[in-house]
Amino acid sequence: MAEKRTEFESLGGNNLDGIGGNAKKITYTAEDGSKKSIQIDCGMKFSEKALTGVDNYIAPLECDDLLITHAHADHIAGIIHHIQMNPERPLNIYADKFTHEFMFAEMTKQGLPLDNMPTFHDVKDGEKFMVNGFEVEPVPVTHSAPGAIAFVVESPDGTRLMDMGDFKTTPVELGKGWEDARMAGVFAKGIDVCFCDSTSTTSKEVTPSYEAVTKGFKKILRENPNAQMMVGTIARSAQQMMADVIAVAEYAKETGTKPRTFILDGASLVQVNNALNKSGLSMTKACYERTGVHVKILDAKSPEARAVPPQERIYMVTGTQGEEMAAMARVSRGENRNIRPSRTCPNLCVNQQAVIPAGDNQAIVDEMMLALRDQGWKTMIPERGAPFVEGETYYVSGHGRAGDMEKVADIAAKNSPADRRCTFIGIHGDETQTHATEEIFKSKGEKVEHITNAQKVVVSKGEVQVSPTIGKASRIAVIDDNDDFMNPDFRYIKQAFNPVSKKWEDVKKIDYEKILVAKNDRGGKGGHGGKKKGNRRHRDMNPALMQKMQKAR
Amino acid sequence: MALQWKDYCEIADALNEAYPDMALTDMPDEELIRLVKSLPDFDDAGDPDETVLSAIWNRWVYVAYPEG
Repeated sequence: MAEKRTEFESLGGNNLDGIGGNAKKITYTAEDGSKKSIQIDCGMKFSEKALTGVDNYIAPLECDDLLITHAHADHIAGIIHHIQMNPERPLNIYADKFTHEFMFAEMTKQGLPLDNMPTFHDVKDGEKFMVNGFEVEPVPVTHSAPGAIAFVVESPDGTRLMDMGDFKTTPVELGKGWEDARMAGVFAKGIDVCFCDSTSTTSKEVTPSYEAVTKGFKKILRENPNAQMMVGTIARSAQQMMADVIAVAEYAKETGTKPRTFILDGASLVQVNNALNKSGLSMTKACYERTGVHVKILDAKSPEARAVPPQERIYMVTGTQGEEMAAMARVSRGENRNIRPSRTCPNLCVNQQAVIPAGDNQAIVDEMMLALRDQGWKTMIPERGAPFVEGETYYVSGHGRAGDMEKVADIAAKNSPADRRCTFIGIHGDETQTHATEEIFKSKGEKVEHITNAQKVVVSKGEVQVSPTIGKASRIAVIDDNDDFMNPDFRYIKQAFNPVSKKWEDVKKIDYEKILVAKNDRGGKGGHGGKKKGNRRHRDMNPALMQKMQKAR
Repeated sequence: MALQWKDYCEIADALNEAYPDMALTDMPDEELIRLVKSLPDFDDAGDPDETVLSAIWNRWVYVAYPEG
């Protein structure tokens, strides 16, 4: 007879030590030795192809039942590759509706046949559900992507684990987010082990709120009342965009002026806006309910957008890091079909994301911003690492800092049952960050453990133990032999980590039949470019940079 | 070959060819259905479900907007 136990294992790069994107497996072993598992997230880690020959690495997908914490690539982007490798797999995905809508849009971009789509199950705060013998409770948290969720997973023997997902502890602008009382209630029921996002714990204080962005953006509006504006953003991190919308509404209300109109330029922004609307998270509606001001959000291709006077326009665009195909870079080259500098009013470009210090990115962004200035745009971009200044800062991260961890520790300390104290473990950060997280909880009197990838946490009879041995870490290297993200030819190679040589070694090439449908051109009659354009963008947006961007969110 | 509802990638390409300047934000499902049925190569008497329409719309956005 086996001993009942519940195990947690990091399958992916939760600790950034060379394994692919975020992925975690929870397994319950019953007395008869039978096992049941579910997985949380299946992300991608980008690779520096010039150095490795690999475009990116994806985490294993070891379960047919998958909980998704939020819609960022390092948590979801491995899934479509696994579907291509095994299209008959009956995959069930449990996530917030916005996350589903976004994932569906991404899968259609890559041309996944409808017959091979996973089955999406919407989850909601307060509605527990059963998956493969586990009772799962979704708990909203705050992150830059709307619909971010922490999952409490209760195994059949009553063991309760919580994966916090990516989080910070200030309020959201859209939908549901972190609430101290909600989290207090979760801890009050008893959590045996809590796994904490640790990307930014060495930074002091609490990560500033999106309300701070609203204040900073209002200052920009105040100082540039007659400028045509273009704002660079990351589409799926829509909480910050919503903070801008609120700023416009409040500024109009305070000054008695007509609110500016947001004009979305680019597929990602149009799709995210649609996903928000279909998820009941309309930015226009939420803004009106909060401020009583109706702010219009239009499509840059619409006649209505072209009729908006330049000084009332705020173009929202992607391409904050100078990606060649994105709208902002196209404007800088004078190639954007929808956005031109106005000749009748000043022009202001606000790049709402700091430059990520990787590769030649600083030079690329500098070149783009210089080209914009040459066209007559005044430019603004936040300085990386600059201290938060109330009323000035107009960009904030979606990840918690030391102050957020302290808040979690205080809530747990105050609410956890005396006979069921929680053990905290830092994940999703390098060793410095995860240790920093664990030190904070330790300093607050909480129990802590430390794990690396493929190292199991075992809970049996209420006792929490970290397996002294590290399991076999594996990942899948994804190589695009076409080197063209719009018309890729993927090769998949399973790799395993050799603990003796401490190197990743190829295990086998994974044969598959291609089912994804590439994009044939760049927009038919109205489109631009082709394979080489896509290729160049791929090169410019170097993988290390993309990975760091994920952390920056 | 005639296009059917499930051929969402091909339908999106055809829509983009036929209506290159169409603004796609807030397009009602009824309008999308009408546009698909107007395509000369489309031949499917069935009714599309929400998933099919969403797939066509998202793919159309992807091919129609060069700004990424």
